[in-house]
Amino acid sequence: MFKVPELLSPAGSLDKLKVAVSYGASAVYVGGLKFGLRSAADNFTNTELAEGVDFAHKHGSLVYVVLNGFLHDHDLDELGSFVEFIASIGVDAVIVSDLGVMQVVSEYSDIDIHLSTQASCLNAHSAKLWKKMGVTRVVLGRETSIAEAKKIKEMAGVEVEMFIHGSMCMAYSGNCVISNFTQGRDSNRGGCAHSCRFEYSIDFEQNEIEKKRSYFMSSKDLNGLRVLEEFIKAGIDSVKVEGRMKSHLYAATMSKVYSEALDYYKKHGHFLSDALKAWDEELGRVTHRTYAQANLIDKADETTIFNEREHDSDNQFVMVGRVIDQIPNEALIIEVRNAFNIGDKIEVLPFEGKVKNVDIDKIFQLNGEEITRTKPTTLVKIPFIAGCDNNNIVRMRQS
Amino acid sequence: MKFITYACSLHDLAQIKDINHTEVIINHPDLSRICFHKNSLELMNEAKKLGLRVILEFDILMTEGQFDSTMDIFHSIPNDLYDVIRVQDVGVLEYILDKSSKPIQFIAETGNRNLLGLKKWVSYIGQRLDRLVLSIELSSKTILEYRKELGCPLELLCLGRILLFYTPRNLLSPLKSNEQIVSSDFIKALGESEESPHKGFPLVENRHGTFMFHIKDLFLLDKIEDLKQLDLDFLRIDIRHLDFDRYRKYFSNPIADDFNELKSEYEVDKTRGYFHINKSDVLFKKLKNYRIQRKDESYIGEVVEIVKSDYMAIQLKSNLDLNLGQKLKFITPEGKEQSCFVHTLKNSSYADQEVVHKGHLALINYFGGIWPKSQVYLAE
Repeated sequence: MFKVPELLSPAGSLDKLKVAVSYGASAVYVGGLKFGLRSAADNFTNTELAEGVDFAHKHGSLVYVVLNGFLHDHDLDELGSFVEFIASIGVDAVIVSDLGVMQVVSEYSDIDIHLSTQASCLNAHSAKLWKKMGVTRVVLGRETSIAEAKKIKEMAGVEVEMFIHGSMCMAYSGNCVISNFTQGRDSNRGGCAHSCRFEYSIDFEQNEIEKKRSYFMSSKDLNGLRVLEEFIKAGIDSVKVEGRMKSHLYAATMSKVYSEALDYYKKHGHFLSDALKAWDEELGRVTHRTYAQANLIDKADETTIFNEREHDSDNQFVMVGRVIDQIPNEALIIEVRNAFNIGDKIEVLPFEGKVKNVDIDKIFQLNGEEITRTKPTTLVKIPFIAGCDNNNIVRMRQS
Repeated sequence: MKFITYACSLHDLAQIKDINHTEVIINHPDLSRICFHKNSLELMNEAKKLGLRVILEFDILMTEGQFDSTMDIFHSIPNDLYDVIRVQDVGVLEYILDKSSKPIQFIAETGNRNLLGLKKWVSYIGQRLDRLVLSIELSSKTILEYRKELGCPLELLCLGRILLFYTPRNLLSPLKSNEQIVSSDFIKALGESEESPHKGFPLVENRHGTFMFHIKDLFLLDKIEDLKQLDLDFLRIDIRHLDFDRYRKYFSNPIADDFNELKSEYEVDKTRGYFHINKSDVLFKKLKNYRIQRKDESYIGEVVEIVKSDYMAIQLKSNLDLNLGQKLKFITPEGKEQSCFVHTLKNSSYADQEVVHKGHLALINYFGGIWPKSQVYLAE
């Protein structure tokens, strides 16, 4: 068996936590109702956190709670009691970017502290300093390469976590305050307005006749699958997927693909497999901007700029629903997110193994009435498919 | 309380000396984010000759691969040409603490919005801490509290550009043709977006990446009486983007000077930023619907489907079972509250039940005015 990194998946809600864990995430990161950077996410109430930790631990996964806002004094008032609570329910670590928050965490608990990427830890001396401050793991800034991360780990003697997949901040994380000063929303306390994704008109003040229009501050998405072996060989402790705001389909696909890839390497010690192509294709089936490897191998250059309007019209697949219950040997109950009809070909994404392709020939309401088409936010029964589980994601190719 | 500013030329240095400043910040093209000159060593040398205390600004962020070569450049600067090092990257801070004996000015402008954290930095840097540069996102009231608690010299930007965005990537040069780019040059531009009401963001690309600034400059000098109350040690002037000569007469003595004339003469639009109050978290409440968040221990679950005149499907999400005859309270996504009794109860097979256990689907009698995503609680 070969040692591989932990796979750390995003979980924006309790449902998504269950999805991510069930599809193979070895750890998930979640946010409480305060103190994080995703104010618009569902996030977790305390009860949901306790339930989420219980679910994850029963499935052998860890739970990290994000406390990574640059908190102001008044934000800290309620932090101590929250830290005591998450310690009491067995949260495995907190992700922190602020020294004041670290003080509170240390005062109220013995929870491991992971340094958030928001702190822009980019070099070994920085990691050494944060280690002295009580940090057990650094989530490196996304400007660092895998080779640099290896050196940082060796020099600082601290666990190293790197982003492997997802949306990228164009700025050094924690060093963008566009929202703060243009929209009155603190981007570093959860109010990022994504101004970097806007189209800008650029005037070079050189009497050029036409201004250049460009999404010049928008980054392509990170995809590190093809260099996963580099992460492993560098001894990176955890590979992280961005995206607490993203869909169940995203949480499922990322967790499934990367966990299967890591498991494969664990067994075989290489990626010489046809599965690599299939995993790659799977990653292309969720909503994403054009992929790039950003800084993982070489420094991100102009080819990593996503100079396009945000759109999702070219998504290959859409999530049509989620299995939420089963009547054994009779039916699967699907919570419908996007409509599908009799005659459609749907795919059920099992927790392990290949996608199950299903031709829909019957659809029923729960009261047994047969219908020909579904509607979003309804429940329907489809004929039982062996090997499916609750929380399996159901998707369909876009026509 | 004194003014401090940057020198970008020998002429600037003479002017700074002329207005009785005792210190000067000098950038270095390889160590400073923004540097408008190439003759840093000459400037430092001249500043020393003029008797100015020289602050070397080493404020770039850098990855491990750049670290050693950048430190080689740092060490190539003769020790006697500067008195203090000003840093932001905590890796640089750690290095300087170990490898240099110079006093340190720590830039705490990014993050660092609470006293607890700032006190920790003060204690960590210890005797080597020459000054803490505070964030402009702190309100005057907060700074006043910090002044009482932090036993070290403090500095605040009171006039100058507000940096909004810093990336190591080159974002402007890809928009220009090759013949327009001279690699060692700054590229400057103005940016505006139809999706933002603000027009004309100053943009700069240089060897360290790309920077975006606010369309307005921070201008706190019209609040000089408030600034005096804060008892700050230094007020920073950063008008490197403007003609220093034009304004230098205003920057000799913050205690004595009147800044109304400067206010009317200043050529860039002005803002006080968060100096009066920082409420940059108040809009968060509008970012999501708190009504669909489960709230207490009587929580049962969530309505996941309504079939009019037939049933409502509730996904039981808590540790509670649902029993026939129980009274339920519903809170709709719009915040409306409705109550009803469970007259009929079925499981997902549409079979009548006395109880549906936690974790399963429960189908109960239809009740008007309730929508999917309504949260369901046991009524008192």
